[in-house]
Amino acid sequence: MRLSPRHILLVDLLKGLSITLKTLFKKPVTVEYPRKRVQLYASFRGRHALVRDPVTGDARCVACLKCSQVCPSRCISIKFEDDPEKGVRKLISYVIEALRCIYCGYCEEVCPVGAIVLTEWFEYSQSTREAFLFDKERLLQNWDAFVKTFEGKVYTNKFWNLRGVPESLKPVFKREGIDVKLRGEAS
Amino acid sequence: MPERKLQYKEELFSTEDPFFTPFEIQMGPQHPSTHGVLKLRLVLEGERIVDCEPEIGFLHRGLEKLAESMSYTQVLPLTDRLDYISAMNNNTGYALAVERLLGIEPPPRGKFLRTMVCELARVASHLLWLATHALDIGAMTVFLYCFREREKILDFFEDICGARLTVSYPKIGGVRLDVEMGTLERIYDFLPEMEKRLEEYEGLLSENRIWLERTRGVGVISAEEAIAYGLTGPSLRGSGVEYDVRKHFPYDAYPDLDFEVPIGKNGDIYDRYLCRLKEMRQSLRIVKQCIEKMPSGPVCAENSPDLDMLISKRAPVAMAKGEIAFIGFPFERVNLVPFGELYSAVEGAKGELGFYIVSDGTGKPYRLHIRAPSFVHISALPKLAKGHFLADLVSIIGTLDIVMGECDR
Amino acid sequence: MTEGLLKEIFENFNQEIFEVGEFRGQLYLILKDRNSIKPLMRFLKERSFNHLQTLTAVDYSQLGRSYRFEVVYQLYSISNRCALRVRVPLKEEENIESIVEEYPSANFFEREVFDLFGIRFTGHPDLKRILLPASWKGHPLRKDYPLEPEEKPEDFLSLKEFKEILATHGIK
Repeated sequence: MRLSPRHILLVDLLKGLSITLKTLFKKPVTVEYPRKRVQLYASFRGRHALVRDPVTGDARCVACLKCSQVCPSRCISIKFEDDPEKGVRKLISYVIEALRCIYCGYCEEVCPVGAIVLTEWFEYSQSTREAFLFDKERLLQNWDAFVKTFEGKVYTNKFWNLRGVPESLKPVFKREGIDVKLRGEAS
Repeated sequence: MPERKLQYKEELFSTEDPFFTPFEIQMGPQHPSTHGVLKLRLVLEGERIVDCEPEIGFLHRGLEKLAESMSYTQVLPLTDRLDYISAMNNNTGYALAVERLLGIEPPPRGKFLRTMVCELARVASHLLWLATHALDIGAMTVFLYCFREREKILDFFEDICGARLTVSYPKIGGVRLDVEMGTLERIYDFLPEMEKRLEEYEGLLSENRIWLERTRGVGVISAEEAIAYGLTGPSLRGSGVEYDVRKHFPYDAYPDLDFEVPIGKNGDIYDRYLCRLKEMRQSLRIVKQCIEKMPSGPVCAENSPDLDMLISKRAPVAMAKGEIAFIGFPFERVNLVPFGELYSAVEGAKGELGFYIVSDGTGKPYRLHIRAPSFVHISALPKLAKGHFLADLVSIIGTLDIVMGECDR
Repeated sequence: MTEGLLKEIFENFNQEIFEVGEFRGQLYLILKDRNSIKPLMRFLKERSFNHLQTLTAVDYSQLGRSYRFEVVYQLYSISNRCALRVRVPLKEEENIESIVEEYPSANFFEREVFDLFGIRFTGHPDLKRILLPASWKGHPLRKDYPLEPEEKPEDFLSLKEFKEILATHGIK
C-alpha cells in the first residue's frame, strides 16, 4: 500500500483539499449578528411576560398558584389576599427569579387564564443579578416591549393546548388568542 | 512504521529498571480536549502513559436527590440536562420508564414523533462528536462543517418545541406538541442534503493517511473485555458485539421500522468512527421512514398524568378552590401510582441510558437512579490508555464520547 | 432457553433465595443473606449473564421495613436475551462483598454507592469517594440527609432574601 501510485501521488490528501476548495466558492452560512437578526419561530421559550388583559389593562392573573406549584425550579413567588365582597382573590405581588428558571414552559402550559407566557425575546442581559428579579410591573413592561415587535392582532401560543377537550369547550382565549391592543386605545 | 508502533506497546515497564523515572501530571478539569470537566491524574514516563486515573464529580448537581422531592412530571425537564447534546433521548428514556411503571401506552402518532426526534437528536450528537474528535486530532475543517449541519437540526427542534438544546419535548404518555406538515416537509427535504454532507466528511477523513495513522491500532479493546468493562453503544459495537437496545428491548416505533446496526471488527478508534458514521446514515433512514409512515391522531395518551399531578392524596389547600370551576375536564385524573420498581433502558447517543425507578405509591419517585453510559465508559479509560502516547490519550477520550453532564448527573 | 437458565438458578440456590417476583414483566430475586452474593454472581457469570447493566442501592428507612438498605444488581445476558434483577437487603452498618473480579464495570458503581449511601464493599481495590470531594461529610442519598443545608453560606441565598437583606441596609 505504501508504494502504490495512489499513495505516492497523494490522492487521498488531494481529495480532501478539493472538498475544501469547492466549499470556498459556496455562499457562507453565517448570519452577521447584530446587524442581521435570525428569525425565531413561534412559541420560542424566551423572556417571561404577564399578558395585559385587553379589557381591564391589567394582568390577567387570578392567583390560582398553579404556575408556582408546577415550576420545577420553584422560581415563582406569589402573594395574594382574599377579597371578601366579590369572592375572588387579589394579587399582591408576583415575582419570577429569571436566573433560576429553566425555561421548560410548564407555567404557560398549566395557566388556566393565559396570564404568563414565554415570549420570543432573548436579548435581555443585565449587569447585576438583582435586575433579574422580575416583579409584576417589570413583567407587564416585558409584555409591552414584546407587543411592539409583534405583527398581527391576536396572540396565540403553541403550548395552549388542552388534551382531550374538544374545540368548543376550550376557553375563548385558547381558541382565539388574546387581543394584543387594549380596547379604547387608538390603533 | 507499523512494526515500530507495536514494539513500544508490548514493552512492559519494570520498576526495578534504574532508568524508570515516572512523573505525575494532572490533566486538569479545565482543558480543551477533555470534553467537559474531567480531571485525569497521569503518570508518564517520557511521553508514554504508565497509569491514568480519572477523577469526576465536578458537574455533580444532585439530580437523583432532587428527583425525590418533585413529582414525576416535574422531573422531566431535569433529565434534559443529563446528556445535554441530545436531550430528546434522555426525555424519552425517562418518559418510557414512567410509562412502563404506570401502564400507559402512547398513541401511534406520539410514538412515531418521538422516534423521529430521537433519531434527529442522535444525528446531532454524532455530528458534535465528530466535530470535537476531529478537532482534537487536528482536522479543523470538519469541526466547522459539522456545526453547520447541527445548526439546521437545532433549527428543526426550535420549530417543533420552542427550544434548541434543553427541549423537554417528549412527555409521559407521548409528546407535548403536535408537528405541522410544513415542518415535516422541511425535515424530509433536509435528509438527502445531509447524506451528501456525510459523503463530504468521509471524503475528508476516511481515507486520509494522517487520520489512518492516528486512529488505526490505537485504543484497542477486545469484545469480552468491552462487555466486562460495561461499554455499550457504538464503543461496544466497534469491537464486534451486536448489542443495541433498540433491537434487544424494542420501544416506541422501532419494531415497525427497518434499519441495520453497524458492527466493527478490530475494536480500535477507526472502527468506532466508521460505526458512528454508518449509524448516522441509518438514523437518516429511520427519520425518512417515520415521516413516510406517520399516522394521524392524538399525540399524547388520554390517561397520562397532568402537569400539576398531585404528589399525595391530600391535595394542597390552594388547589382545592380555583381552576376547575370554569373548565370541565372530561377525563379522569391519575393520582395514584402503583407500588414497585423497574428498570428500563433506551439507546442514547452514547450508549445504554437506563432509569431505575422505585415507587411507593405517591406522586413522587421514591428513588430514581440513572445509569449513564459516560460514567461507565470513563472506568474503561485506564485500561484503554495504558502504554499509549500522550497524544493518543486525547483521541481515546474523544472516541469514548464522554459527556460530563451525564457522567456526574 | 430462559426457563432452563432460571430453573438452574433456582435448583442451585434454593436456600439462599428469599423471594422471587415479577413486576411489569421484569423478574427479580431477593436474597436472604448477603454472603451468598459472590457465589451467585460467579454462577451467573458462567451462565452467560455477562452484562451488568446497573448496580445501585435504595434507602428504605421511610417505608418501615426490617432492613434499611437494599443493593440492587441488574444483569443481562446478551446471547440469551434474558434480564434478571438481584436484590440484597442490608441492615445498618453491614458490609457486602465486592464483585469487581467478575464484573470489572462494577468498580465505579460500587464507589458511587459508597459515596452516596455509605455502604462499604469489602475487597474493592480502591474504595473512595467519586462524585463528591474527598473531604465531604455525610452521605447525601440517605433519607435523613436534608435537601438544603440548614445554615446557608453567603452565596447560596436566593435573590429574594438577598434583596431583603439589602433593603434593610437601605440599598435598593
